[in-house]
Amino acid sequence: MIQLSQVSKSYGKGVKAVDSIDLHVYPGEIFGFLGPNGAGKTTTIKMMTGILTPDQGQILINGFDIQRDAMNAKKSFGYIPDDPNVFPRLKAIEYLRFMGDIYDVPTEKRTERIEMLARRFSLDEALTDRIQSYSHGMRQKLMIIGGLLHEPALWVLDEPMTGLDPKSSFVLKEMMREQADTGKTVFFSTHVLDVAEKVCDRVAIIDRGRILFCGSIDAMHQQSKRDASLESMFLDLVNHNEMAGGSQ
Amino acid sequence: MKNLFRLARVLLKGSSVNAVGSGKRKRNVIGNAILMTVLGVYFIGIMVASALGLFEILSSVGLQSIMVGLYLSLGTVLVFLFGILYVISIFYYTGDVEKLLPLPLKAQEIIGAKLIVTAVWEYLYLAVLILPPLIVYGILSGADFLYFLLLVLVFIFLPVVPLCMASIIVMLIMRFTPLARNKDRFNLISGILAMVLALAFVFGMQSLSSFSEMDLTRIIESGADAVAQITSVVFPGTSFAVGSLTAIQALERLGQVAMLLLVAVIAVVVTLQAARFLYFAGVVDVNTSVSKRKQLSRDELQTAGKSGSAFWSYCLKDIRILIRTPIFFMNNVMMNFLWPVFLVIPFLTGAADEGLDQLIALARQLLSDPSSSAAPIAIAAFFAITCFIAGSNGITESALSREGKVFYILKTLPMSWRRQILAKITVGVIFSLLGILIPLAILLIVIRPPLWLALSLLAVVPGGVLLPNFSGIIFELFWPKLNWDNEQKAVKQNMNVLYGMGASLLFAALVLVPVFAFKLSVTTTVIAAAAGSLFLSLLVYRIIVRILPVRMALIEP
Repeated sequence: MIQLSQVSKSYGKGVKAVDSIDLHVYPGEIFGFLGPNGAGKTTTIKMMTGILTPDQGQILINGFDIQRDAMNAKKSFGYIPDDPNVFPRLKAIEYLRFMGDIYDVPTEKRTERIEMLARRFSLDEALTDRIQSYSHGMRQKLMIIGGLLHEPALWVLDEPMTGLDPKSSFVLKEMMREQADTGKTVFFSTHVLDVAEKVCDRVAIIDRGRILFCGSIDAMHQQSKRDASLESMFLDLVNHNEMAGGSQ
Repeated sequence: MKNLFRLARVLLKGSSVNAVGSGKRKRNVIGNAILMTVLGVYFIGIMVASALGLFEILSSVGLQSIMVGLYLSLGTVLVFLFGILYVISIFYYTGDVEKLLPLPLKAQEIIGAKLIVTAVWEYLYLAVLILPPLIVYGILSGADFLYFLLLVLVFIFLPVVPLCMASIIVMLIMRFTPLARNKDRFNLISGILAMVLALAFVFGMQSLSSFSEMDLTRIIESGADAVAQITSVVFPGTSFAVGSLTAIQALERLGQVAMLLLVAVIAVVVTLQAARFLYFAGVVDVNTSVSKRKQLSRDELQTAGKSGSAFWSYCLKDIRILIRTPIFFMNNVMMNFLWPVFLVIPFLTGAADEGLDQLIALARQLLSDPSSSAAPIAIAAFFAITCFIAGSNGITESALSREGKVFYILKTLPMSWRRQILAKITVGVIFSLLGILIPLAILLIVIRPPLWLALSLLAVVPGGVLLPNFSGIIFELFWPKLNWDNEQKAVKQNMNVLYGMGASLLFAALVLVPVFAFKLSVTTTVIAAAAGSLFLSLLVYRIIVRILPVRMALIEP
């Protein structure tokens, strides 16, 4: 589903935001991408989705190279950005129609999807309103509906829980599980470790551009040799990496 | 009071009045400075010319001192009218309001500081519109040193009363009525109003030249008298300002200016006191959009979400954003239709002077003969106008910039850059074609050219529209202005719009110059303009396709 091989990205004068990372995400799993601020999470996601070009390495999305076969790769995933302030002067329904047309979703199918997703996220009474009248959370929910309209085989979500109310957050987690149970894949970044612990099949922890750990929560317990929470294991790893100067 | 001046300093630094930049911003700041200087010189030129003409006419009947009252009254009225728009915008709609409200500042301190910012804007255009004619008057009438000294004081204190009155009226409106509560609607209406005022001003200035001297003297004498009387009653202070520049005794002039100062101080005190009771209660309800909360039935949802072509959907998205964003609407859409009007005004006012019917008859006669030199010039001029309208609306020249940070999201869409860029060019072409319809319709209806000429004019339209739109996008591919926090920066402070205008003038010159220099025939002119511009468009398109992948990969957040 997702395969990153020796991917690096630098900003400015040689500061490596992502440093030779390898990552494999398999069908049917919810994969959490964790790390402190500025660790390289968003840079990695932006390279995976074609926003940034890697300096080196290869990224395959559902078997398609995001650089060489960009159109097929982009058709196969749904991306929810961390900033939901997109096209504020469009009405929500106009935005969804735009997304439907871009991803070539037939009228019947998109009507059904919009109806179902809008109801689940309680946006069904606000579809004719302009996005600028929406709260941050409502915009986030609209981005989720737009990104999932074409039923992609892979979901890529950057901090999807930010701004969501408890009910919507619950619905999204429920949908992520449903998606994974049908053999599709969910890849998401988050700061909320509780969510990651409860939802993810596997996680990767990134800090200073390098992957510190990749595996299941159980494997992390085994590696840390204690029955601690994800939060304390996460802090151990990051603190240890900081003390080692990020040169793991 | 300390807070007031500290705040004013911070607000002035944050406003475009004091736009200084470094690095990337420097290019835009320099460009803006050049543009502002050109516009400033242009308007000062108009005002000086009008003052010179007026002085000559009025001095012949010994009424030249009317000029002072006329220009001061004009200044007062302009300060008041623009003041209403500025005050709503600066007091209630600038981005700093939300940051200032939670701070421990009194309403008087916020309003006092914002009043100073508003006044700086008013001084800027008063310095262009009122100061030059009054200096011209002073020089031509042989005024003494005291006149120029008092002119400085009058310039400083004249705007205070009308500005304070505008502030109080706006604060009352915002406190007690729902008018102007919607930011977008207000921006749109005020923008259109400002443009209508500017248009009326240009038209009025042009019309002055078409009156005979006798008419003009009579109109000015009665008009100036009426205007001065009304403004003196409505805006206390204007009569003192007039008196301080026209009274005979020096002591009387000093007394008048002291009265002007006193009235100004009272106006400020009253405004700040009014702010205590009106400002906070009015500013909290301002919004940008209203939610209607309407649930769509399945049929409505099916119709509203009906599938269509991705390309057209992309165009439609751009068109909607262009029309619904007030700043984009005024700078791109309205300018697209106003340029033709600006181009037609001098012709109409000039023609009124000469006799419109005779001019039209002459044009018809000259243009009926394909072998005359007028026909190729008319075709080349029409091509030039087409290029200018297509290149000056700034639609393709800001096509990427208008997206702002959303541009990066567009990179994730499964739509090739070639199609996305073509969609953006298509939007520019659609508006350019609509813009060219006005001069084309005027030409076809008024001049009623023979069929061969009408077809020749139509033949140069496609290339004249495509070439500036294709070349305009190239500037955006190299220098998109994506990281903005305010929509104005995407179009108003975007140098690509100026570059596009320059390129369109160059394309116009490529046809106009040879037509004049080598006296080209109709056939050669049509081929040069129509085929030449289409060939160049194709060339530019090939360049776009070639550079697109690399340019897009380089544009990163």
